[in-house]
Amino acid sequence: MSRWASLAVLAAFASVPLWLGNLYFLHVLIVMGIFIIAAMSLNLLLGFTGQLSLGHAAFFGIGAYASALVSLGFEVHLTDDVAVGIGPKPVWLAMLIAVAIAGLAGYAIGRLAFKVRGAYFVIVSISFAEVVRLVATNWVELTQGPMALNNIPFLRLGAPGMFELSFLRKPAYYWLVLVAAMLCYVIIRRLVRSQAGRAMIALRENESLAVSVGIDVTRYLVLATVVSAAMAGAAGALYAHYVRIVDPDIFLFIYTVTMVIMVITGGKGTFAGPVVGGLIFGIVPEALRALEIEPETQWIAFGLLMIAIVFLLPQGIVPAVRDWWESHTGKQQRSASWHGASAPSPRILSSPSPPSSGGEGRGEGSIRKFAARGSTSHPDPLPVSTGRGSAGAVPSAPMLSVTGLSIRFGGLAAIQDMTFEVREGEVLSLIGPNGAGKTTAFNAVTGFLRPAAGDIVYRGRSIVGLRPHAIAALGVVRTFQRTSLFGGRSVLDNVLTGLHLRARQRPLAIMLGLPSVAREERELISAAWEVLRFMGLEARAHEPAAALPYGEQRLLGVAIALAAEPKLLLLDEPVSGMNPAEKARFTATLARIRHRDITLLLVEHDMRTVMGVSDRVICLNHGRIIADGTPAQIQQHPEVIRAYLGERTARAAG
Amino acid sequence: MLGGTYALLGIGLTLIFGIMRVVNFTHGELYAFGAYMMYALVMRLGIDFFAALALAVALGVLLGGLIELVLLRPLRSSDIDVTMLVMIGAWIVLQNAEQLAWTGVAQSIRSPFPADPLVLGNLSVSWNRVFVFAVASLLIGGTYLLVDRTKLGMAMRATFQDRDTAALMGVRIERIHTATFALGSGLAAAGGALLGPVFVVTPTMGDLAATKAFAIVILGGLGNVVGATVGGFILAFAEEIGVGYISSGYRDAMGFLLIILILLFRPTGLFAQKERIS
Repeated sequence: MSRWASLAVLAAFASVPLWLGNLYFLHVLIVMGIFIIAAMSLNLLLGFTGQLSLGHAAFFGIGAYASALVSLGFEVHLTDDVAVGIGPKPVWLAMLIAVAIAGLAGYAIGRLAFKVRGAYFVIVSISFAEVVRLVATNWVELTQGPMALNNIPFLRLGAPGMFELSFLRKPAYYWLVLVAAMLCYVIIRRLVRSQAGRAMIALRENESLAVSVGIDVTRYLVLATVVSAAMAGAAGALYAHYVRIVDPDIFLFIYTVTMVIMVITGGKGTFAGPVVGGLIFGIVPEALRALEIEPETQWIAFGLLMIAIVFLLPQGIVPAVRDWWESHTGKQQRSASWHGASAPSPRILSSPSPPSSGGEGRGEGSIRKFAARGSTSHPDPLPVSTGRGSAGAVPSAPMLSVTGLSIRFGGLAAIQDMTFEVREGEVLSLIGPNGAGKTTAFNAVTGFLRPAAGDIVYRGRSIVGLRPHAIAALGVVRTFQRTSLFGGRSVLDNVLTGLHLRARQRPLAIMLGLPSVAREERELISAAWEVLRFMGLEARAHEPAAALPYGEQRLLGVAIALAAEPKLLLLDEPVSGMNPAEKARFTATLARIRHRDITLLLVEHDMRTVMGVSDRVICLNHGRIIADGTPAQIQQHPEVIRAYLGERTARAAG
Repeated sequence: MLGGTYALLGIGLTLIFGIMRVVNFTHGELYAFGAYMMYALVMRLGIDFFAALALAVALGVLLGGLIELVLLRPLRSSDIDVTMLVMIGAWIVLQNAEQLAWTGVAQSIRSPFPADPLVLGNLSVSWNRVFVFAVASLLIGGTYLLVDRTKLGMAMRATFQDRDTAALMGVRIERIHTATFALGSGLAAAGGALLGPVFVVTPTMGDLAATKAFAIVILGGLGNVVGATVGGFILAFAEEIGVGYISSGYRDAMGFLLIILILLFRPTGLFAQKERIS
């Protein structure tokens, strides 16, 4: 939607109190607006990080209670003698405190979410809401229990008598809610379209890949939960000072369900979705009420509608309408509809054209360095054989040393007492029959598996026990055997996500929309283009990753890893499934990668590739190293031949 | 005494989750459905108490099968949150339909047991509760045998381990799903039919039952039948402690506190190390 269209929509909403005479309808709109804010907050979690919270009413209710209590003042007895309490505070302060308290609750739940995902997270969030509701019901001294908190003051700003803004009347409150909703919308949009948002979406799309490029899962889940909870708390505070009575029913599961339905109906993971869904589910109950049918029947209709929506419009209304609109206006943007499905930023992503390869001097710092290296040192595609250990060219300092590594799956020893090292600047390949433990070794080095015994030292530091994102941050980055991409996102977005470790902007700066954020975003985009150009994928930049042909998907996997600025790059069967032309192209790319001072550790079955690019080859069988040497030595090694071809053939050859 | 019924609820829910990967929000409604069928059959139609019990369970199985066929089968390849939403919708519909059919007034069911409690030493228990416990134990035992010993049970365990491989081995996944959901629903309905005569029957009784069932399932680990059985007893015990030491208002909070504590310290449940099914 263009800026003008957004402004027009906003103006239309703002004008409502001017022509709508019916105060009851205005009341409906205000409550709807408050719920839309809550739904937007839920969408941040559900739509962008993929975590479904069914306890969102808890944050809403905590906001409402906190704001009401601070504005009314309270006193509770911890024991018979000791009492704590505060006097009444101004409403605006109470609201801010409420937002902070809801955010804190979100932090607690977010930390928990690090341990539990999916169905567990859902149940934790439900439980949390129920516990809070029971506390609100039973802690009568604080909350008045089912008697409810009454006479909650309304919001007024400014000095009494001189310049005072009172939010007692409905039109004023309507505008207040509208402004709050707009703020939340803008904050969510900024967050989602930033590096932080890409990290969140990456978690939803492909968590292992996200982690492999250095995205700290906990950090971004917590961030999303805190922001989401704080917004829900803000909505709750707005609600408390509007209806001016709060009781424990505010925590009822049905309110959470209402928010979830709004998000799903409108389209999760879209910015406009919660707004559209909120409008529909704000109006439907009123329409049902106008039909004067019993509340049970209303609810039944509500439930049936919900089921129908899941069956008919599983993506939600906004994406469906957008797809329909695009197919009817004949727009050729195939990619745009893909963005629609998984959200965020058609506009940012389609606007930047590739910066010319000179790099225009926009990029700075490390980003610039990469860009410069990429474009200037563009080496002549090296003949395949130069990869081979030309003596002296390979420094022999150990970059990574693995000692006595053992890994077991249950009783099965996948790797036993493995010791090897990777030297700075070399290309080392791990080969061996299926099940020899090659990928397992990869998983151990990159922190995806915890070894049962042994040590892994990278540049003098043991990395055993570090989490994968921390290992990636040290410069050890891997690719995956099975093609692993952020499939629903554009190729450019994939690489931008890979650039995660280079982004320096803090979440607060992003939400405030500081100029430094936009500057960094431009730098990241220009760096992403460099990576794409390096891998020869620039023509595909705006296509959805899942739509690429297989060979290019493999290249994109490497591009994502390269974006994370590896010093040691681990490639897991990079050429598997490629056709000969693709393989040749990839082999040339490998040579150029090593010219960027990147050390390579390869797992590969394709012997032509292995023998062509490697300085050194290690052969594994049944979890043990059976040979270690130059490609020529390995080709002659009797153990290797036996491992691959079996006993009889080996004897015949020997 | 409650432990047995809690375990029934938990086993039903955990089977459905483990085998179908569906978070079943209608579980509590099937519990309420069982109780209401009991009420309708005994109090309105005057059928014998024990026959009514069997019939109520059978009707629960039927309703469960129907829900699976109509709502879940078409969505088999969908995400867990999609099916979850559909189940939430079904939950809203069922609960309000119950409210519409039976009104919000609490109903009680006459039971044929003597009012004098069974006295064992200094312990006194009502006969009704003894009966509840006995039937619940029988049903739990029956479920174990079904899952452990029969061909259907083997197919269920196979589906639990790996749906695709099971399908390749000739297991009719659709049938297994329907059977699982019907079985789980039947167990929930049995729980309601058993406890209905002990307490009173209200349209919202399912909510609390459902939340407790979730707590039990989490306690035992999602998909773990043994865990759910033990979890049922643990929850019943924890609630008594909660009533005894904190306040009766927090009785129902115990389940949730347990959930949160367990997930903090043992995210995969108490019994995750043991074999999952059987």
